Amino acid sequence: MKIELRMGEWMVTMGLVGLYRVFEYGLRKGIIDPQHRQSVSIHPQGLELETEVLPQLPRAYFLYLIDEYSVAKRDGERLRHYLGQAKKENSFSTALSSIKKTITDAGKKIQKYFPDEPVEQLFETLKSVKKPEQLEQLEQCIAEFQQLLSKEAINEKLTLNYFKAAVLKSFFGQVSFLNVSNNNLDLEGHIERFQADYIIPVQYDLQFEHVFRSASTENEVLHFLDEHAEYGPFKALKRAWRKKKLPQMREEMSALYECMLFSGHVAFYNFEEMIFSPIGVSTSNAFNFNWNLQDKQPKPISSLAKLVLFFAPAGAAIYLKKEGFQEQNEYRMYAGFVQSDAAFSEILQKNNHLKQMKQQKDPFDRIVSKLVQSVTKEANYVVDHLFFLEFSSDYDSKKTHLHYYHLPLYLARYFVEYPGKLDYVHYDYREQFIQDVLRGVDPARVIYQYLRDCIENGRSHIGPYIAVRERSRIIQLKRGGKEMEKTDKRVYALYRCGQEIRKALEQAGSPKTADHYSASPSKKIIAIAYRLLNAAKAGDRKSFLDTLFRLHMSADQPISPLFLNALHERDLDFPAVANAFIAGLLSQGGQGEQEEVVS
Amino acid sequence: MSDEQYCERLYKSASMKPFAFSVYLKNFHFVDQEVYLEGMTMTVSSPDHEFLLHLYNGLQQKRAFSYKQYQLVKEKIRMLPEKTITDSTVVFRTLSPMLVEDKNQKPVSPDAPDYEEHVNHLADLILRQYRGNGLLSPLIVRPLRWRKVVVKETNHEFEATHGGGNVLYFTAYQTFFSLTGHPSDLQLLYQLGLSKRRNQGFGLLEVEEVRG
Repeated sequence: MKIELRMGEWMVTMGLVGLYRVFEYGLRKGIIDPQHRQSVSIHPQGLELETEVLPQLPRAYFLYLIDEYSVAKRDGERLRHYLGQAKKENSFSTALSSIKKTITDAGKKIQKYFPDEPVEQLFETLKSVKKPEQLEQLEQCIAEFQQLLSKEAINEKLTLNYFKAAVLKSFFGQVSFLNVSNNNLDLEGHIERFQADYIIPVQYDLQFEHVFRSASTENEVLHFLDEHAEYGPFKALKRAWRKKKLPQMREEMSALYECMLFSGHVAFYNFEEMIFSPIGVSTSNAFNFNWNLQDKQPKPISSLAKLVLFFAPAGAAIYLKKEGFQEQNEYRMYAGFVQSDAAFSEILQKNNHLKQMKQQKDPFDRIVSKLVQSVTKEANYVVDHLFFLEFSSDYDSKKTHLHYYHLPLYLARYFVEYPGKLDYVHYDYREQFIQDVLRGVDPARVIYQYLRDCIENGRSHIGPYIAVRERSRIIQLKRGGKEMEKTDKRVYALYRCGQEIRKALEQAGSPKTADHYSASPSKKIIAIAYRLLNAAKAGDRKSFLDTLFRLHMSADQPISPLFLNALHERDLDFPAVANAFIAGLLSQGGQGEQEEVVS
Repeated sequence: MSDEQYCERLYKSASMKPFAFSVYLKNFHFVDQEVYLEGMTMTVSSPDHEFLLHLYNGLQQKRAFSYKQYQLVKEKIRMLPEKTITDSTVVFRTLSPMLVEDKNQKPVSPDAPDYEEHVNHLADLILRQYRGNGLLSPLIVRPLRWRKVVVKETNHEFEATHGGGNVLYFTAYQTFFSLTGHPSDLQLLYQLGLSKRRNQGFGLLEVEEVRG
């Protein structure tokens, strides 16, 4: 039987992308019988699925994830990286301890599940490695360990544990094989559970739909339900419909049991946290969705939707992301996805692209600019509706961070016209900057943080200036994008003002005398930069200008009329004026290099 | 002034200028019609950063100024600390004499019964010109001490109409007075000055004491 799976909400589309990836992988690796080659096909609106292929999907699903998150691959890569560091004498000891930690951690897990493996012996040899001279021994150790880890059974077990805990757990509750009671299952056990909990219900429900639609008397329906009485939903339905006539059944069916994700399919399940934990709510808490006293199934979905959602982890790009600045940061596992109004094939392609770039650890701005470049050639309509989505979810604490990043036309233009311009901005701030911009928030707050960081750590860097300039460009584009070059020049002029003042102050710095202490010029500059930054952050134009005037008077320099923009904001806004100047005040780098960057 | 356009805008219009100033003469003595002194300090006050910026830049560009046969050489530009007024009653002292006149351009002395009314009118006018709306609440004026100062002045327009040798006399007062009103009004008056002919060296105020 052929069924159509249409795209819709992002989680459904994510599931469809996952389903297709798994299917493709299965075919490529020979997990799925070649006779089913045509079973899943791409349509503009989504996928078409031949139901005969369903029983073959669970195996492909697990093998795909095992391949994707292979512990052997990941640890191998990490060890190779550390080994590279260990070859340099000065970083040997830190690299060694990292290697030891990696091997011990994984080794202990191997010991737990495979007590016959010679892990203890490996630990002993590893312990004896202490000096850079023993590099050969260390290499030997790592090679042995990798060999051990690459054994199919070991890799399978460890990887299964890993992606269940790290990836699937942020998508689903404790359903099926994800329940703690199933922790000791092996791969075959997992596949069986998947079959029983996800594939078989779909087959039953589809059969039921068929029977129900073609039935001419109620007895035909009741008979079918009787035949499969071991399937929970049928049992309940049979009890409810025992004394009902066919027209009554049909009426009830369309009122109570229609899937909200795939219309036309019968829904025996409910969209709740165990089905999709990032945005699901348990039935008992879903008061807002109750309507017409339907408190048992406020958001009915079909077994088919449930299955598709289960493929979502394969459809998203999974990556670690650092959140927060400096010491107050945290790494969180995020799932990312690109959605647009385009045909399914294009969404699929974009997401493959996204995943690939995330694996290469490309910065977010470059990802956006690359993804956009292919789009802008087409109608603006598409650009208008492209959006990025990422979420980090923790089932245990019932907490989800979900970010939508819409890409309006002016931003698309920005990413196309100024690709890679943010490269000079420090990684942490760049990601934040882009995310703010995509969220439609003024990135000035990131620049304040960045400047503060530069002041505190005495860092001299071109980055803050670039950030200020790019922010001005974005604002300018938002307004229609005229006179881009003039804006650039103004920002640069303000930046230069800051540099000039710094130079003047440094030259004027009086030599210290014994009886009269005066702070060094750089200390003075830091104090002034702080004051200016605080004024800028608070939006206190008066205090900013007062400080600026004093500064210029002490340096005996004229003040650029550009600063008047801080008051009337005709050409530049206050944050741009303030931040560009402060960035200049803080920079002390070589002139030549900066000129180059500025172009 | 460093910006020609700004200067024209400021002086072509009949509106009041957004500043006041005072002059301090160091150890001066008169010899006939001339004043001899060791130095001169000029204090300019304005709430308008644009004006201040152009003024400062202008002063930066010019080291010396010639007036008739005299040469003035600029020494140093400093920025004075400005007080922020957050209370409704402030005691002010004038740094340059305050000129208050009635409708017929007759001077009003601080002990005249309608002095407060005239000061209110003047303050309202100054604020209206600068920020578009007048006083937020009427001022209560309490002169505490005052001294009459007659200012003798001449300018080229006056000389042209009245002939050389004739001079203008302004009866102004050096005053010490308390002012009660809305703090933001007081702050602006402190920055703008309170007097007629503020741009000709009248009515610059200094905060002496703040009374809650």
